Amino acid sequence: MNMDPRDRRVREEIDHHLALLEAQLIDEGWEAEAARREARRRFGDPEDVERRTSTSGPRSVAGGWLDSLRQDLRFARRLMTRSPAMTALTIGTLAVGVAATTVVFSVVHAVVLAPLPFENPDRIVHVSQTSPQGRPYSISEPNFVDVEARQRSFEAVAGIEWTTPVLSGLGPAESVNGLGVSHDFFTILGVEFTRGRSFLREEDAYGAERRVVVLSEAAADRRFGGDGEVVGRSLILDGLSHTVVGVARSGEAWPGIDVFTPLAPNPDEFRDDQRLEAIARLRDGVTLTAAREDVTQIAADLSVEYPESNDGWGAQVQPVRSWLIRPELSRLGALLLGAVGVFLLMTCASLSNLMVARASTRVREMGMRMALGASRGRVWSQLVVEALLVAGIGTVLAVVLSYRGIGLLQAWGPADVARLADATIDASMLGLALSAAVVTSLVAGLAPAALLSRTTGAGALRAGGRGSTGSERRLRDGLVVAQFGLTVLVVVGAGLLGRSFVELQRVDMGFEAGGVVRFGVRLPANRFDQRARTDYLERLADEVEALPGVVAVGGATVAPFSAMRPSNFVARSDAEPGRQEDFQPVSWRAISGAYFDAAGIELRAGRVFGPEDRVSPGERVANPPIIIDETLAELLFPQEDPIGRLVTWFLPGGRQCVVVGVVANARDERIDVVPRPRVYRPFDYTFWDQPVVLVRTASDPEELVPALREAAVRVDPDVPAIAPTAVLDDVRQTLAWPRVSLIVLSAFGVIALALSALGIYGVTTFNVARRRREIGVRVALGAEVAGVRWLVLRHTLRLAVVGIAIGCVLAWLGSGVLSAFLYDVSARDPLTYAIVPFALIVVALAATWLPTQRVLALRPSEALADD
Amino acid sequence: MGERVDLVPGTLDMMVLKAVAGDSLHGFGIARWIEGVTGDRLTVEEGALYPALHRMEKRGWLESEWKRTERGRRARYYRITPSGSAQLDALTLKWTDSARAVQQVLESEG
Repeated sequence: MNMDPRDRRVREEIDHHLALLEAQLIDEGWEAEAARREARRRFGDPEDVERRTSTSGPRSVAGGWLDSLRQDLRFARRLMTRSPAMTALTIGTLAVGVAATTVVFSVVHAVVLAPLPFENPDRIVHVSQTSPQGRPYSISEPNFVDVEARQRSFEAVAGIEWTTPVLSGLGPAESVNGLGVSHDFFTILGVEFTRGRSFLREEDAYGAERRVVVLSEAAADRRFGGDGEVVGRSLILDGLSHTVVGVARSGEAWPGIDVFTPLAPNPDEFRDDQRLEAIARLRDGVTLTAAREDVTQIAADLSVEYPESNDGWGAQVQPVRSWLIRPELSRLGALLLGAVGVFLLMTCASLSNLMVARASTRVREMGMRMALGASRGRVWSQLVVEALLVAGIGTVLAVVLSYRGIGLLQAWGPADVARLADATIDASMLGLALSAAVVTSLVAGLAPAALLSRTTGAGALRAGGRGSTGSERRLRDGLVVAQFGLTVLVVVGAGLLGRSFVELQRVDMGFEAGGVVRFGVRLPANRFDQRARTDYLERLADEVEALPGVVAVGGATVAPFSAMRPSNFVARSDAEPGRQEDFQPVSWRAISGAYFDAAGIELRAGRVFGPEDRVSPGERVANPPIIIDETLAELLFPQEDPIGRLVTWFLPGGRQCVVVGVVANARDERIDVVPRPRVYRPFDYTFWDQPVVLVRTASDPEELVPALREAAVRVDPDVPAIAPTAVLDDVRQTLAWPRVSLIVLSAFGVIALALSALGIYGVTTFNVARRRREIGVRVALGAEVAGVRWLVLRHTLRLAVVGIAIGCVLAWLGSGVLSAFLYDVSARDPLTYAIVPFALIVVALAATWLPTQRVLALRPSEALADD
Repeated sequence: MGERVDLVPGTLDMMVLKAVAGDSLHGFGIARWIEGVTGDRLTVEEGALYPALHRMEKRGWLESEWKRTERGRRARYYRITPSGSAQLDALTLKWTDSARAVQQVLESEG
């Protein structure tokens, strides 16, 4: 081996050093082998040391770069473990802030904003009628037929009717979810067929001979096990044989539907029976406005041609999205997105606070190092590595938290919010939130150094030593103010929604929802006339009343909180206006049996319907009996006795009904809206093929469900009970979205408060540490502790108060946005505006007090001892 | 305060010169001396010691010779040269000057 004597000398020195180090360690009680390893670890790589010693030329660039990076990392790690609380705060702020932002955005995006699963959804519109009062209504069959025939704006128009036909012939009879649709339905949405075809035009014509059905892919697989040729097989729907003509891949476009049957709209049906929904695809080049004009003109023509049913009725064309996603939900989505934005800003402000405070403590040290000859690049890279390390760990945590968080929300959130279960973390939002947070921490982590290096040499040292130049202090103060301002926005929002939710749960529904089960029954026209339906409901009621625990049974046209909300118009007959526009709009229900007892609605005056109100088929009653609620009684007959008075139904010159009873108001359509006045009619006076049955039980509603299913089959094996559900679950369901938004905003509010507290705690800790000497001197010189404490508290509190004030003003100005989502609480609710600032001041006080107290508790000698 | 701090870069030369100003020491001894004098508050990165020693020897601030240790092992002992003494004085002056400046800054109101 040819070795330079100089190199040999270095090697010998190193070996000697290692031997001595090892010996020392053994003396300290290390095991021989462990001592050897420890000595090597402390000394570093001997080869490396040797190389650096023997070669006098410049070190290789890569080695040096890597080396200093390794050093920086080691240094940064040491710093992080030196102030673990501060480090954890910073990393936690980043992770929690980013995760909360991402999860909420992802959910809102999936539920409200995601593109509809249709081909070219922007060209699909929803067509509906509008009442003389301008409210949107469904469309009646004859009007639909006329609109379809006369329109020039659409490639195709399709009617939709929800059905729940009873499927039999394949195992026990059960009701399935179906749609009656026009033959163009699938083309409009762009749904493909895996087998067979859609309906033909002639199959969709009223009175068509052949009965056909299209199955969804899922239903075809479930019913026929996906085996062989499904097309051409037969199914029995509502007792009638139907031939399967196709299998549609409809699961995504229209989930939850098993069977599609031709709508075959009846042009001679009542023109004022609005029961269809209509969608259409715009012709190329036709705008929404043009389509609107076209359809409005048709509606105007129809109201001239059929004044008795269409007078005053208009039409409306809107994007299909506005129809499928309720406007209040879209607005709620916008609100939540706004909250996401504010929250992200707040997170960044909080992160900046902590990073600036952190970096500022380093600036002093950096200044010294630069004064002692460390290159500026080295100092910078040190800061960058530190910031990156914090950001890196925070990023990993944020990603983990995001995925955990969305799982948690899905598990806790309402099960039946459409598409919630399918929501996945939106990668671009995660990326955006992460970049915002990482860039923020880098910028904030480097800002003090940037301000420092504006001055140079001795100046740098001086500035660094003082720890804050004017601009740096302004930056820090601004961040504290911004954080508090943004926190106020989030917390005020959460507070208002929380108050509103409490009010919603306190709503007096006017009926007793506890202990009530509802289920549907389908009584198709080919087997039941209305008289037979009433008879069936009576037989079913007898059967169910015999079940143990059952208190009362009643039938009605629609269930509480159903999406279907039938309405009509009434007026006092002795003061009947000449135009329908001047009639009183009402909601109505036709009922049978002991409906009021089953629903828990109290009778206030008069009587309920009884056997004397029954009509035989074809019998014409001069004055059909009705029962009205207290609101309508007050509206029509203020200060008078309504019993025995006549009320005109629907139109000028319409049937005059006699009021036989008055019942309590029932808020059973929407819980957050004051109910419309209500009219109850006897069930056998209407035509309704799918009534609902309410059963009041003294026992647990859930336990009654199996017995109810059996009872229904005993009465008629082809009429199964459809979806038996506790009405309390329906109530919960109507509160689902208020609850989701409350959960989201409360989480935001609590996290925002916590982050603010931590942020100001970090800043104060830093400020106090920086002034420890000064505080020590003051105390040593005999200053009163209270006075010194105030000196320290004053500055931070002033910033908090300014931030809170700005936040309150902003929240006040923006309160209009929120008012649409509030129930019975003003968006400028004084209580909320009093409590939130107070709570934040307390938070600021506590977060400032603690670190101050710690310094004041030091003996002056300790405070002065080291720096 | 028991916390160990790292040597501020640039001060190593000064400390090494100071360590060998009195008596000649080998590398391991220098490291232990610095730690001992500062009550273990300053740690020398031992691997960094040898490049520094050789550099300073080349500049003529130090001279070295092989000697036997008390235990009879051969070790390289370092001793300060006159030019090294002058360098030590200069470095000390510069250090105390800047330390005083730092001190002034720290005592001023933040």
